[in-house]
Amino acid sequence: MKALLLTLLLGLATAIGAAEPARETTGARADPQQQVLVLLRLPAAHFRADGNYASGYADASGRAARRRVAEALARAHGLVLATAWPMPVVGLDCYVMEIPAPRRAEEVVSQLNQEPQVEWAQAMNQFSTLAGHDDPLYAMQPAAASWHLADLHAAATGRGVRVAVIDSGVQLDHPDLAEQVDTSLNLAGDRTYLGEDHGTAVAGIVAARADNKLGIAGVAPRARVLALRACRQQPGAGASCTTLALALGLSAAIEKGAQVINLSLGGPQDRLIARLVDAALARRIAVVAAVDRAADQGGFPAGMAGVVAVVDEPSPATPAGILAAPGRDVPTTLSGSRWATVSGASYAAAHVSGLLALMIELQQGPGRSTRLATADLVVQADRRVDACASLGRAGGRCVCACGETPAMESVARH
Amino acid sequence: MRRGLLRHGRQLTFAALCLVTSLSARAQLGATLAVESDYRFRGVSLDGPGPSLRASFNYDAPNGCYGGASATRVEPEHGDRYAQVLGYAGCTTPLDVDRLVEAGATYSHFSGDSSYDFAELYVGLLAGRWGARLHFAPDYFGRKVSTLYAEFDAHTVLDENFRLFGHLGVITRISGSGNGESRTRGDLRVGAGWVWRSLDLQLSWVGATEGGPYPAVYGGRRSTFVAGASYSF
Repeated sequence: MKALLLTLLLGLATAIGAAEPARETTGARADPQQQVLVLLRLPAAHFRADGNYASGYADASGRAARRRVAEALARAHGLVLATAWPMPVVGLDCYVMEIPAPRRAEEVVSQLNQEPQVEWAQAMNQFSTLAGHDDPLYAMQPAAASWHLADLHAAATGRGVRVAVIDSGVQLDHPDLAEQVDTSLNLAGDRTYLGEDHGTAVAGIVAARADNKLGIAGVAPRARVLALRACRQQPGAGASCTTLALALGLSAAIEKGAQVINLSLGGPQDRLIARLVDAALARRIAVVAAVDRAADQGGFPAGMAGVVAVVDEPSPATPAGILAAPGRDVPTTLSGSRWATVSGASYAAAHVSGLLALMIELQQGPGRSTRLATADLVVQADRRVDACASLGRAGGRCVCACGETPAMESVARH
Repeated sequence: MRRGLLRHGRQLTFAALCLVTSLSARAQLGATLAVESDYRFRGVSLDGPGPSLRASFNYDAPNGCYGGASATRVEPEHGDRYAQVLGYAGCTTPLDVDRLVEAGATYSHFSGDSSYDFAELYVGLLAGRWGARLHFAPDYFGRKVSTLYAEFDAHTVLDENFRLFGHLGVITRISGSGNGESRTRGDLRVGAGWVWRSLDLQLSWVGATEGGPYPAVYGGRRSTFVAGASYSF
């Protein structure tokens, strides 16, 4: 009898597996402006009478209960339930619902936020990478000042430190990035992981291989990159990503043990992204974000407390707490196994992510709990990061021949 | 104290259940129907030949408290077929950003023979992918022995549907007569689970050492493969 039951169960599993349609990933084929995110509370895993040793994705019982709530909400508000994405790191289950035209997201969000079962509802925001100017020849302008990489690498190479690049896709087999990527995930909503320019450029600045007689040396050439593709390259205009894809990238970065998260992007204030950034910071993960010059206080998420906000060129108007790093005419890797120069705050942020990886290696070593490195960064009077002084402070020893560093101060944004 | 806890265990668990399940619009209620090829409770089969059926519900309150109940067909002795109705209630609270502490109580009632009824208290430390609990039963299965049961559960999610899980438990008699049996028994379960929508399929290997306080008379195999399926709604 038991053997028969076992056979039946395995047969059922096989049959259902064969019949399961391919799951739509993030509902990204729909217009994000006609989507809302509905956040329901995801209870922590706890004692169950059935001894179910699972939580999050695998907790079928809890998932069914929340799905029933979501379906009722969708029916009540005339929406179409698209997908669901548990985010255990912030105790939320995220449901994507599509809004039939001609209704507008603002109206639906307002109504959903009146529902007591809903933690909150929000629009599906759009973020974009911050690659600087669009002028075709801008990338040909003179290079930015060096960070004395060879001297830095004599002290640290970021060995084993895990840096999450949440961006467009990284070309995994680029000659200068081969074996530098620890994990790659496609969260952008299309079916195939693609190597794209912006993500490949950022990953190269962070961790391109050194001393391989090819291309460039990354700031942290022994760091391990988590290539989390949340953004999709747009023809002629950087890359863009939705709230949901970014949220999935942040969740994955936290769950996979990132020690530094690089966000070379910006967009509108977003409650879900803010919650996940706070969850990362609470776990002592350094979060680096590119500054959007067009936005107040560096934009979002760069303007969040605790986030290391980076601009490529400081100006007298640069708000306090924002620091500057090399980000103009930076040679780096591009998709198609190419190299070229790039400019923009995105790449300045990548420099700082690499530097933090070096500092983490010196401070506490890979794979161990790290403390936030933001307050340990040393900047000069013009807001430029002094990489040698920062690394020297982190390691408690002389780096770059201990050159004098004028008017040093540490950055603390809390 | 021990007798008092046992005598009032059912009422205490029921009261706790009522407390944590006081209606809230933000609460979540789920129910599950399950079938298993063998109902193994801490490594020991509690049913006879044939599959075991279980119905359960779980209630999660917004404040981190929860409660629920399950009914499972058991056969602690050959021919004595009962329903084990297990009620539970507890609360979790964050310890830090990654871990929770948990405390709660269970009460098991056996229809047809209430001499098996017993209560337990438990405390736990839980993280996202593992949990450790310590259970105290003042009168384990009504056999006039008090026990401590320590368990460690862990799982890893391979993708959004597939997971591997493991469970290690040790029960030890801390008072009462063991009728010549050893004081301690260990049990181990390792397996894989696959979730698709509301369906959860599991296949696991379960084994237990000899001795310790047995709740049932079966002298069957100490290890076996167990297949199970559950549907949640």
